[in-house]
Amino acid sequence: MSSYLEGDETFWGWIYTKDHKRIAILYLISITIFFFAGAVAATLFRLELLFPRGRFFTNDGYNNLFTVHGIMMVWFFLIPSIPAVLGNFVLPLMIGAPDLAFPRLNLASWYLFFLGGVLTLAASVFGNIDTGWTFYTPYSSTFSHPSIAFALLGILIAGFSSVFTGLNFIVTTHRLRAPGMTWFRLPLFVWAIYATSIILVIATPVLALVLLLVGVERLLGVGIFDPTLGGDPVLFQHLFWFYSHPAVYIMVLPAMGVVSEVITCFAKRQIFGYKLIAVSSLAIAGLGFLLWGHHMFVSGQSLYAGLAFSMLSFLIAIPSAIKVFNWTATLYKGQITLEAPMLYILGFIGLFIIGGLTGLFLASVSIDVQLHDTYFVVAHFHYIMVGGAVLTYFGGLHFWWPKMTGRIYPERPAQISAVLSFVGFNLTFFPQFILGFMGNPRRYHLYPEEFQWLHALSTGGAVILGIGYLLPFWYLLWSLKNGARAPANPWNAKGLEWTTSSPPPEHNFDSQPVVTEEAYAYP
Amino acid sequence: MHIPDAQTFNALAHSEPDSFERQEQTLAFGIWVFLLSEAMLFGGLILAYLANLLIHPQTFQEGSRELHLVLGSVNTAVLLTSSLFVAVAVELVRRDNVDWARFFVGAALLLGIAFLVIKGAEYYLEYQDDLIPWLPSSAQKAPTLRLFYVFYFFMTGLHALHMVIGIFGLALLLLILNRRINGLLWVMAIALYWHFVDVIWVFLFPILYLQGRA
Repeated sequence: MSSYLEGDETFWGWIYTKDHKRIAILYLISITIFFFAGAVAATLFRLELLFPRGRFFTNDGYNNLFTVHGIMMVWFFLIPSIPAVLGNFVLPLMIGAPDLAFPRLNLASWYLFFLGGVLTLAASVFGNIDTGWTFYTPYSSTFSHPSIAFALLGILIAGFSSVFTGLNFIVTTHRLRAPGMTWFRLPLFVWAIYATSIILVIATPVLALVLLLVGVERLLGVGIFDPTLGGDPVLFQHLFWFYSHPAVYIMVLPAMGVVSEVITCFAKRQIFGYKLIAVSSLAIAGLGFLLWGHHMFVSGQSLYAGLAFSMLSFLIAIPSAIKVFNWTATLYKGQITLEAPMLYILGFIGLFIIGGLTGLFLASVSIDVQLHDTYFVVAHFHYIMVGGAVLTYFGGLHFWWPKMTGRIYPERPAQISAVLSFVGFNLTFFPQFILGFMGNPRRYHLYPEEFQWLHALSTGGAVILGIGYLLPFWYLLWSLKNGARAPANPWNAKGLEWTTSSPPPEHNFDSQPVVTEEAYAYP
Repeated sequence: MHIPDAQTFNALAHSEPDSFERQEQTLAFGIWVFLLSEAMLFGGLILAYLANLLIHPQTFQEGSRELHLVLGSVNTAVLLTSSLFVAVAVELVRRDNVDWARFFVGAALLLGIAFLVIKGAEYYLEYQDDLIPWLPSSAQKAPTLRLFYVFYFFMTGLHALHMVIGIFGLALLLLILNRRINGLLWVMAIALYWHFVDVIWVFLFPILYLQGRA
């Protein structure tokens, strides 16, 4: 029986594929390219930040770097990463389906994503986008460099990809589950992707709207957000953050799904509190739509709105904490082994706790007034997005690598990468909490002399983190030719994806799977 | 339940995954999810407009009074009738009367085009009245009045764009609505999209045209 990797091995066989597994690989390659673009920008500004008076870049040049870094990392790496790569590959397998509900729509999603990414990357490289990834008006809609319009167009196009992918996942989960796969037997990764898909479908159109409005204001010179023409710049912030806050849950919910899969497998234990974890994913998705104003405490919005947003931001810590407690309880009395996926996931739990708790600092209006637009915020969101989402992306990639490629990666280098990433990450970003607390603003490359040692620590950490990221790039590729051949279930894990061969045949299963046991039915 | 063997499963997976009914339901479910995203697109826009209406009641009411109520009302009747025809067509398809269903889809399509023509006429009249906010001819008007017109043109323009997509959908439906199974599969999906475009207009018309007139 040939695998999905064989069959039509021509270039067009891949570019015109309708197989969710091949589309996942297409996404994997694409987001890696965009990740490198964002990483190059980060390398450059981390070098710059070694020196307090600016060394290599002008103010405008520095603005360029953090803008490109933010845009490429958020929209073209993090948001697609776990859903479009791991979700695309594993979701149909997990529910016992032969593919997604709408395979051609899935391919269209990838086309749109790649097109949008290339357009935005070109605008970044050949243009001069310096608005920050948040492209606030009136700067972005009036006198910033015109290349911003192409970047925003690229993001708009990629946004359609998000909506279509979310739509596909929702319909697939409802309609294509195998016999016996009831909702509460679904792996928690599926629940996580489902909750993420709800956000993708509901939030992304508001981003499309705000992108269009900024475009219209730029092109036609009208005043929607420009106060000199009768508009309101705070309206932009409301519309922008109404999408962008739920967007961070798009980034973290799938990561939490991966954690549930890996932690049960490497502790060989039934998950503690299955229903609570499943429902908490939905709760985070729902509540996440009500918090956007915590990005706007100092925007001039009403204090009462600020209080409401603050309270709701505190509330969302509850379902998040429930997950962390349940994962920890899952470890208790487990037979824990520390392969690379588990190391990444354990790293996630620690870093997510720090990121989450510092989020509570920022959710307090009075504290946020001091910390807004400082490095404290930068550290907070990197703890969740990098310490959280990226670590679990790597963890999930390692976990499902045998399934996706039919090869075993070398374990020792992988464990070293996980540890290096964890250490490098903390060294990069913990100093930034201190910097922010001491008043170092974000998006500045000039800073007082006395902060230099913290920035230097941060840059040193980034070097280690970079090595931690580059190592997998090397050994995972190495394993494609030289890794041991993987059996169907190299981890002895529960889950339908492990009942088919590694890699799976094109149609996923040789005979119709029927589900008769609960998820994670470890003895 | 009947559990098919490998060969049957593969056959099912590739040629005819489900019964016609299940496929149609899945497609309709997919369209509903898509309409949810469209509702958020227009919903955000409508909320932004309403927020500005609350902040600038005088000028926004003045702007609304300059709009062409008769043409807008005629358009509302045209679009509602068009939606009715599409609903009739769906029912006719259910009763296996595909020929009359095609007639009603065609009639709905013509009404859709009529809507766009009337809208175009309105736009032209507004151009003559110096109400186009990005043209220098409107420079004399108050900034917030021009803001009303920015919203008016953006909202009706975005709606018109969706009308065009819907018209293409109806045209496609006409082409594929014969006895072949695939055409029938798409009837519900395209009809739902057309109804949605109609519902959006049902929201736009009062908040744009009627709110300024006591």
